[in-house]
Amino acid sequence: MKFLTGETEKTIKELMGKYEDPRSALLPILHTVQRDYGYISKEAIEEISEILDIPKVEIKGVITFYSMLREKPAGKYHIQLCRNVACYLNGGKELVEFLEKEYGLKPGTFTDNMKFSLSLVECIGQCEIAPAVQINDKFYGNLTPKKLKEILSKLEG
Amino acid sequence: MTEKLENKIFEPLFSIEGIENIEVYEEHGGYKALREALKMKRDEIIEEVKNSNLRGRGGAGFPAGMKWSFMPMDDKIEKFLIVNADEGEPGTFKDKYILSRLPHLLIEGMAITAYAVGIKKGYIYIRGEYEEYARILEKAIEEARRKKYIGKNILGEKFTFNIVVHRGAGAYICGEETALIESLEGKRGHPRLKPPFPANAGLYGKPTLINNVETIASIPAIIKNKGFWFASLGSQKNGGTRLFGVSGKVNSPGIYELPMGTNLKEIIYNYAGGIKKDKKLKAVIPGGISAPILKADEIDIPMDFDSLMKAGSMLGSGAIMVFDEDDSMLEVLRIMINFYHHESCGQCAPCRYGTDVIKKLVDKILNKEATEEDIDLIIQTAQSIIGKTICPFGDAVGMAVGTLVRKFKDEILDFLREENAES
Ligand SMILES: Cc1cc2nc3c(=O)[nH]c(=O)nc-3n(C[C@H](O)[C@H](O)[C@H](O)COP(=O)(O)O)c2cc1C
Ligand code: FES
Repeated sequence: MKFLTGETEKTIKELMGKYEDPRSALLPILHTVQRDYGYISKEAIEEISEILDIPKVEIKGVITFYSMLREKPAGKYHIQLCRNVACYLNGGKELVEFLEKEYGLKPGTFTDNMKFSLSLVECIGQCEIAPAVQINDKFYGNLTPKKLKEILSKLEG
Repeated sequence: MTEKLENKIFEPLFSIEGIENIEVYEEHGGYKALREALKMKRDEIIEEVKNSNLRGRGGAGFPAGMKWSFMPMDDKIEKFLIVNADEGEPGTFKDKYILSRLPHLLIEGMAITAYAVGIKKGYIYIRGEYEEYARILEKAIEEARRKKYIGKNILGEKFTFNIVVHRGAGAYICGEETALIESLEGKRGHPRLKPPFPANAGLYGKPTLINNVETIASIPAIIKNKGFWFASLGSQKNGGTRLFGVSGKVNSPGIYELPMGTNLKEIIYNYAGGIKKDKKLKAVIPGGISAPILKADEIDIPMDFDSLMKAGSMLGSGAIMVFDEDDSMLEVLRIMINFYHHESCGQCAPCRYGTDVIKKLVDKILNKEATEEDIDLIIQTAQSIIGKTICPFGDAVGMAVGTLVRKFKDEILDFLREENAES
């Protein structure tokens, strides 16, 4: 049974055509699979390994090297909270405490309803609006616990 | 006011509504520099870039014109251009403004560069988190292709150049140029031994020119107004303006485009609005977290590559991080070493072990189990990494951590003594 089908499969073919060496498409392919399936499963790795003719262990090695790639699902809204200097010294630390107190959300975990997950990350290039978080592909800055709560409530719907 | 703006490259464009769209960009003189460049001889363009004293904005400050001239000029050789949009150095957010607001300035700069060096294919390696900006770039590239500014037979000339946007996936080390190349080849981002340099053997083993976003986005202005004009904007051997990104305890954090060599004190107090709540300034990191920290009494200094080098720091990415009297330098140290420990690619033992040893010593301090010897051991360990690794990441750890601990040893000792007073 083929695992990567439909749009995903089409995108993979397109991506491979962009590069002089199709192997260069590995990161974009992994991004695509993660976007379409939520994470990169064993089945996906097997198929990518066949498509690109790269050993599975090497693909796993690549996935573990890059912090954005995951082999397990994340929450519907994945919160990446910056733990670097500008953010952490200007209110970021309080945001971490708030998420734990208010949502029971610790770094590396989910909320019970799988809506939110949290990871602490290095600088995300939003230091002028510290403290900042990235939720899926969007950035939010100048946060306070109250503002963060408003944002999460809106997303929760 | 307008007079002042004419001596800037980015700020006047930033303020134009809709400039990320090609029509608006064209209305404001966009792609004129490319038309002009295509009428010039290729070595004339490189000469202009040399005259401009433009130095790499990614961190190292290498003269751009010289780097270009290292590339083989033979057109039969396959060559690549890579724009480094990894922007991972903590404290740095300047390239974001070019990527999101001036994608066409970057594309125009890339096309001119490619024409001058004889390159047919360019990659923009953008950090994975900048997904939103990658989409803006993709859209802009499509617009430029439709108007024949890139693609086959650009503006009817015999010049072909295509651009692919490639997203990273969260690894600081991939900002280092050879790690970036490995990553672009679909591998883990492990820096390569140099030589060979990318200009000889880079992407797929082919000659490759790598420049930072801000470096390449400066090229159209250099062609339009000539290299000497650009050089005259800055200080000696440091041409042009720089996008300084100020963060931390200032009243107005943000980016400020100012001449190279602008005084750091002036940037903090005149432009970034001074210290929040009128607190006392404690320290400044002048060029991203890897740039050794300056104490409050060391900031009367011109912000150019050479002056900061002389002061034992570096201009790096131009990211200015400001700390006030309430900021704990031990907390800065903790964050810094956690960052380096997490981001070390693990390839070189001195860096891998060194960051691990220092992290444990810092934890020991935080647990109030450390002695003065442990603090000195951090300084020694940091020193021992310098010069011992394949890439400059190790030097950055050594310099940044070593300097911070040396300059704020008393504060750390005070922290340890507090405990003695309590018990
Ligand atoms: C650990 C490390 C991280 C780096 N990160 C970046 C980066 O995010 N962006 C960048 O442009 N240059 C970065 N550099 C510098 C690049 O290696 C390279 O010097 C630069 O892209 C060259 O372009 P330039 O000459 O225009 O500055 C980094 C270097 C090191 C050692
Ligand atoms: S330090 Fe948090 S975004 Fe840069």
